[in-house]
Amino acid sequence: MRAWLHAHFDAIAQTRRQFWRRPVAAFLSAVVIGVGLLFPVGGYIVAANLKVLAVGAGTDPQISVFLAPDASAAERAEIERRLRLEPGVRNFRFIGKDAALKELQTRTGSDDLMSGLASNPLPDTYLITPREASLVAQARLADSVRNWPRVVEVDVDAVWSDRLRMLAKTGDIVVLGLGVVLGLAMLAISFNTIRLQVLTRTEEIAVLRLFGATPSYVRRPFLYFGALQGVAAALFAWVVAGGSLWWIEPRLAALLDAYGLSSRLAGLLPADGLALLGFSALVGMLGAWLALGEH
Amino acid sequence: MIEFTGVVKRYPGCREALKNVSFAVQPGEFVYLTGHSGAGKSTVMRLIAAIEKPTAGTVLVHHQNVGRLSARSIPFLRRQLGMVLQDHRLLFDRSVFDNVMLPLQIAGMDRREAGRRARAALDKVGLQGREKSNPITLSGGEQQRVCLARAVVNRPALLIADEPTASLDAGYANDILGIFRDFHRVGVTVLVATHDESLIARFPGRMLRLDQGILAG
Repeated sequence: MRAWLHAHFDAIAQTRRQFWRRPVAAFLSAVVIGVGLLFPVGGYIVAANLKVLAVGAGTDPQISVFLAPDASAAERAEIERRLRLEPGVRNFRFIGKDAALKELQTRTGSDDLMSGLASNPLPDTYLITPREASLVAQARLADSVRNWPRVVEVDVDAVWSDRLRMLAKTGDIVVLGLGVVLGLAMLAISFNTIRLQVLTRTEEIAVLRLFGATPSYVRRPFLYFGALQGVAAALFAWVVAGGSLWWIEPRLAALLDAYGLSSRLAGLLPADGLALLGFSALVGMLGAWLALGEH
Repeated sequence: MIEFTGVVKRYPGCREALKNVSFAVQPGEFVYLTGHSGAGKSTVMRLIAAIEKPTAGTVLVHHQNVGRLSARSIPFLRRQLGMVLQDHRLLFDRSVFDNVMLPLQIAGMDRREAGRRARAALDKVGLQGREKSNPITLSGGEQQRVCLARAVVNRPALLIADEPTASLDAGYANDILGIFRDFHRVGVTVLVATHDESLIARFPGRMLRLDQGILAG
């Protein structure tokens, strides 16, 4: 155990020496990988914010059910009974035709809306909050309600928030794709930097082998270097992404306020950041491992 | 300590470098391996250090069959050997002290103990006070001494050296061989490959003569 720890401390010390031998080159490689990481990280943040927007803007999707103008009280009672039994309905609210007219009059500010009409043309309406927010579930509920007696029209008014939600979902896929592609790019960069190191140190490696170094002893400092480079790149991406959010938030606040949305942007959570560090370290190490090849 | 039995070494596309070579070196012996350049001396050294494997025959070092050794075991065989190579193979990106420390570091020795041993080894070859120098600033003879210190720092029972005096003038060569003699006196088995017969005349020892890959006696 002691020997094992000692071997790793030794490898870390060698890694540190390797870094200080070419600090600028090591720093710049980390920056290149970090810039590569910024794209999926930025995409992730945008997607996360879209999701927050979708939730905030959609509130609860609503389905409006309009009855025939001449529907009787008994027929309304039948509708209400069915709504209570329908499992897809979380709750519902009745707006009678008189109440609807009154609301219209107050909203438009004119009392003489009815002057040219013989009777109130507005229908009795039920506002349903569905149990499930998904577009499919809402459409299914709307379809079934549409077939009930005395129902004239069913309106699903959640299109905008649904589009946003779908956009966010698409964003997730795009971010995942970007992540995979740029992960490969990171792997290539890490591979190249470590390969270069291995090539410039062939003599040293040969001497180490000659004096009884095991392959893992030779590999270890390079693997640590790859991981360290990955961690540095992830830190760079984290700091730049956080800094950009901090810069952009007050500039975006006015726009978001205009839509009545929260002007707090979602950033990287500590867990996200740590996952990023881990992922980046792993990719760096994998690149180094591939670069070492037969050594 | 070393036992060659019917050893043949053929490099691809070349004539045989060693033809049916058999000899043994007993523990505590001091043996010269001589012959013209190209006679196969370096090949013998490379076989002992498991840098090459024999085409036929067996090479035993410390009772281990080098030709059959798995890749995993080779590093541990090399740690039991002290090696001085024809090309110095010193690392010029670190100090004399760090070069000598290398075998101990590889073996995973505690740094303080390793440092003590490295200083003792440098002391033995007469390089005390040069620890912090870069080996590139040293003369050829001094570089050879660093190699020697690096070879003996892990206190091997067997020390092999390939042309350790090749590029040195007679004075330095005598110094180096004197150091080998000192190690032999404290019980280290020594095998020195050299083409310099005048050296052997000054420091007598058993001789193995190679001629075009054949052991002449």
